[in-house]
Amino acid sequence: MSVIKKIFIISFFLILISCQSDKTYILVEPGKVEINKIYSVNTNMKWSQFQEREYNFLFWTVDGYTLQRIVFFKPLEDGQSLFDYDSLFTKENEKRPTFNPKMNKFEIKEFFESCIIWSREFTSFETTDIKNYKIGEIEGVSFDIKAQNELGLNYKGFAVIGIKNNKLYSIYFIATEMEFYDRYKKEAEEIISSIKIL
Amino acid sequence: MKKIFLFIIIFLGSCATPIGGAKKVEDIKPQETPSIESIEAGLWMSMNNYEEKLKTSGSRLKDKDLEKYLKNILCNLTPEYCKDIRVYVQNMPYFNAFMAPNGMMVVWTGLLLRAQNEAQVAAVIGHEAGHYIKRHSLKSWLDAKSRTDLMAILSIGLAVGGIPSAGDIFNVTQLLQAGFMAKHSRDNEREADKIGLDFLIDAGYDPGEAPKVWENIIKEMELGEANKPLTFLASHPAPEERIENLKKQTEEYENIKNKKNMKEFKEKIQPHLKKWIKNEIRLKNKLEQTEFVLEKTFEDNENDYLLKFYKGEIYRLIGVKEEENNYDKAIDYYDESIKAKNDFPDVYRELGLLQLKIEKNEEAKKNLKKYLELAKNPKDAAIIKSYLN
Repeated sequence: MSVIKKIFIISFFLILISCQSDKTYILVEPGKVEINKIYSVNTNMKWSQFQEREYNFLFWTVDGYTLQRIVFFKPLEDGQSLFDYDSLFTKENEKRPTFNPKMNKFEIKEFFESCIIWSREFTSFETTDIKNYKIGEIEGVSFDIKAQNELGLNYKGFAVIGIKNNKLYSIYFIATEMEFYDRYKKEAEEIISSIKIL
Repeated sequence: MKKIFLFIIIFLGSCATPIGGAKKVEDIKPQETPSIESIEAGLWMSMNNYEEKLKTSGSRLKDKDLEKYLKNILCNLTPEYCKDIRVYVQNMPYFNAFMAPNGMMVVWTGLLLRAQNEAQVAAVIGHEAGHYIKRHSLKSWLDAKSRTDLMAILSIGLAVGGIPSAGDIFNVTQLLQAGFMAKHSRDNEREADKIGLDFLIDAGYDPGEAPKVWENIIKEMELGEANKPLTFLASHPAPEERIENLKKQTEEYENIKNKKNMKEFKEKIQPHLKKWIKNEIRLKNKLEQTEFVLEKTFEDNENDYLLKFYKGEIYRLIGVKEEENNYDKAIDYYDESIKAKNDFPDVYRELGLLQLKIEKNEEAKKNLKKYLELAKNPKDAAIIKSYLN
């Protein structure tokens, strides 16, 4: 094979690679949406969906994940954690909170809170107002979230979480208290209340 | 080879700046600010930026009353520097406090949880104020800078001399440098300890509480997984050495008073205790270590029911691990808590929920009902009731 041919083939592959679309974000259209064959939800508006294979969650956002997001976790099994990937700030992996299917409703809230604190995304994270809540046919709980990041930006949100067949299902919505929480709260509530476990 | 070393030694000896050659730095005077063209002004400026961020940071504990209380302790210890130093509390579950050159003092919640009384907190605050007065940050900076220059020369000298494995040489020089700097830092720490002790005694606090802070830290370290700092490379004096020095120095004083102010201190931290303890448990340190911290927190016996309750919480959260059933231990502690105080609602709730888990349903329902009765319409009543049906 001549040198020119080799250069041509290499260039062709390089062009192909550079043209590959970024599949990290995909557009979610209004209507009924299936999420990884785990959840089914209804949305009235467009969202950008972020998904990375190494993460056990995906999220929807409109203006960017630091401003507002709805996070859908894959079901967790015994001994797993919400954040099973290793982040830069959380090196003590052996100390990561782990799920136990025998957890009661208060303990799953406690577990969720501990996982978020462990991830160190927020410097202050509190959950309040725990209530009985049905996610599809699962008897679970809902609770409110109040958080603050290192820069002092306040966040508000809510989560729903429950156990089915020894697996933990959890979804939460969080947005900046200023502007975005109020703007997306109603839509997030509608989406989360439409969730069905597939 | 000998000639090369001789050359380096002569060369170093001829340097105008001696090893560790920071210029003499005077103590900072009350209300003094560094002149704008100085190195110190640069350090202040960067710390001012940090302080501005800290003020609104989510990690800052938003309790003005507690910060005011700590500031009052500072002003009581050193009235002349009261205006110069600002005290902040940061939500960090570890034992630490630090002083920036611009007068920003930061105390971590892990330290406040571990302190047993006001005198112990005053010992730390006085020590940190000592760093400010003696301008230790500036000294460390100047010293580090001069050592970096010195070690650069040493590295070049050795490399030019043709000594093999340059990587090792670099490591050796780094090691030496770290050793020198740690020594300097240890000297600063000793100096700050002495100033802190002077303040403590002048303000009428019990100076015996200062070494107790370190004694407790040593015990906690021994119980846990944390490595003891190496004597040579540690940035602080070894705690044992520190205790010895503080005790020896205390013997030199007369008219020592014994103010501890345990009650005042406990009242101030009371609103945060539950959260701080939860964060402490979340650290998942060794069981004995966490228990030790709790025992020191509730040493006054008045709140023995809380000590027992939280010990129960530690075991409940560990749960069943490696065939070791910690639930039974948790239940024993909850029972002890009830014996110490029989109208604390939370213990009935946790006990009842745990009994449900191990299928002691009748006892569980009895305790959950007791919780609902004592807590009087708690917010979680609906969930508790769902377990009663």
